[in-house]
Amino acid sequence: MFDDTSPIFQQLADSLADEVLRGLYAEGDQVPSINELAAFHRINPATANRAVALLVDQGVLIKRRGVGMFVADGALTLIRTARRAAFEERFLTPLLAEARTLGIDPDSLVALIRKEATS
Amino acid sequence: MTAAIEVHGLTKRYGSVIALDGVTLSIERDSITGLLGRNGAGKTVLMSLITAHETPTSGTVRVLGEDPRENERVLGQTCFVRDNQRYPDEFRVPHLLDTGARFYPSWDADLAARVVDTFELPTDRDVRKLSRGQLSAVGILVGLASRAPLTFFDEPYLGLDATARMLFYDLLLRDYIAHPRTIVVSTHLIDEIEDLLSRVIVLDHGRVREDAGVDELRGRALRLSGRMDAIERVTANHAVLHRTSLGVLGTAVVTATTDLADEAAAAGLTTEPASLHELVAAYGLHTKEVSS
Amino acid sequence: MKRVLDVFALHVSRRSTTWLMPLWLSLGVVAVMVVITFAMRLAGVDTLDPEIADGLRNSQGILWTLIGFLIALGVQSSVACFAFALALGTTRRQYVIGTGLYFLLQTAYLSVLLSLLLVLEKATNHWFMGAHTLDVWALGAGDWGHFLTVVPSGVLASLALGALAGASWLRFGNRGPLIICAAFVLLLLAAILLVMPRLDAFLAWFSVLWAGVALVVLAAASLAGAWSFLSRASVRNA
Repeated sequence: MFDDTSPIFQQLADSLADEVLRGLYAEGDQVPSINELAAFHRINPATANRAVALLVDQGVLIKRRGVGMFVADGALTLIRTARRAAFEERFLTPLLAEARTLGIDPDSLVALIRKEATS
Repeated sequence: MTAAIEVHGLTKRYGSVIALDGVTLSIERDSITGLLGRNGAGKTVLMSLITAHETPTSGTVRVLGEDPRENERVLGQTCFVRDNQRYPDEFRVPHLLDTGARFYPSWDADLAARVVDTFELPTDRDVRKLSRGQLSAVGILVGLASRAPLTFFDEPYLGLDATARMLFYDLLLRDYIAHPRTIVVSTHLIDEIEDLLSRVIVLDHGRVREDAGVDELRGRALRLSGRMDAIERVTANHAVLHRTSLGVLGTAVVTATTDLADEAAAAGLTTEPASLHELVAAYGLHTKEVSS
Repeated sequence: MKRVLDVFALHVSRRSTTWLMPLWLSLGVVAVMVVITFAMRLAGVDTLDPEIADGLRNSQGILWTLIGFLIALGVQSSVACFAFALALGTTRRQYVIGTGLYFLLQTAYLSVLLSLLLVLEKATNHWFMGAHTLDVWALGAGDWGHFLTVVPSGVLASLALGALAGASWLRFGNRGPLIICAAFVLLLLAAILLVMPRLDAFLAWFSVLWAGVALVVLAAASLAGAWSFLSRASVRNA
């Protein structure tokens, strides 16, 4: 499930955030423990720990001592905001670069986008 | 907390052959460290020195803060079954189970039974008559079930097919999660195991080439592909670990620096992070010193 | 201490080697002597004749055969479990002491076996044909004091010598046993050179008890030597 384009903990954190974004975990839901995540994804628990720590730092998850990890209130908004900020770099820049390589000018690109969005 | 293993300037010479040359490293407790490198890089020698199976020519070894040589307290907490382990005559799997239970207070008989089942180990045959894969399974059995605070696996996958290897990784990881301990695994099947590792040590011709966390190491080198002349230009002042070429095109695995990715992109080259496997292989492919 | 006993148990868990081999050894040695005596009888020698019997008591074949096999047993025991014991985190000291305890067991066992066979030999008029295997001068010609001094100490010394040879092999590879043999021959030579000029005095002073003591000292020295070799032996070649 993980490739070697970026650190695994990053990919795991992204994947968990993704699951929250897609509604698989609602705010207040409990997420799997670090050990469960490690066993499931076949990764070192230290890596899983890093991923979770990252999400806790970002305010996406909270830790309830003795109980487990939960999706924080407001996590959805946090993730969406972060994703929006990254949207341009992650999707737009490569899209424009590819369009340029293929000789598609920005106006034609916008037309293509409109067509795709309405179909 | 003291590191589980600390090694300083460790050198081991066999006659005129230098198997380990001034190795300095430390391995922390409760971690899974991968010892990577080609055959003859010094992986087994290093583990032998740590477990006092051999004596250093020079340098020091400290296990749990003490010199392991003839140290009952420290050695009793180690388990090192090598890939060509010799077993006593008449030994069968049940003998192993009994002996393991006797030698290790932490021995887990249930886990041992599970390993026997998982690998379908024959219990009625002399261990020395087992196949290469079954022998590896026996080594895995002892290493896992011992629950020794310091457990070493010496190329534990030899003779095991892909399915069996996956079973091993699963058993290893699940047990590690439930009962953390310090584990060192020597391997050259890096791709399969890298996700389980917290740390990687790369040995090449008896020297430490890399000693870093897995994530850190992954960012260590880049693979550039494209026109060979562009590659040469961009990598002129960089440490190139490996080159291949096909006509005018080629690839190069290069130690990453901050500007390299940008320069490469500007030169029209494709840049990707080099996989751990490529990184390690690139070290091994050099027969002479690589300047860095 | 516990680990020392664990090593002992490890050795003992090789049941066939521990219990059957000495049995076959003892029976085999007796059988060989019986066969030889039988051959002699076929050739017309009256082995039951007291004079001839006395001559047969000089037979030392059994002695050297037993010693040879016991040395081999010692070699095998010291080498067989070394690598595995160390894999499980045993120190060399623990291994040597544990193996020493194992040798004590084997010594006791063999002594019992050979004693039983001696009893049988005497009771059956030397296996019904005057085949002197254990009732020989070297082992006391039936005298229990002599027998029970020489046999246990001799067995222990042989096993320990085997351990020494085995340890030398673990330390030096194939050159090891060669070195031990050479050293042994030299020592023997030295002993002979020392004793021969003073033979009468030596014979007067010699007693079975001293022989027994000497053998035990030899055993202890061999084990100490084995320990010294093992302490620097690598597990690699085991």
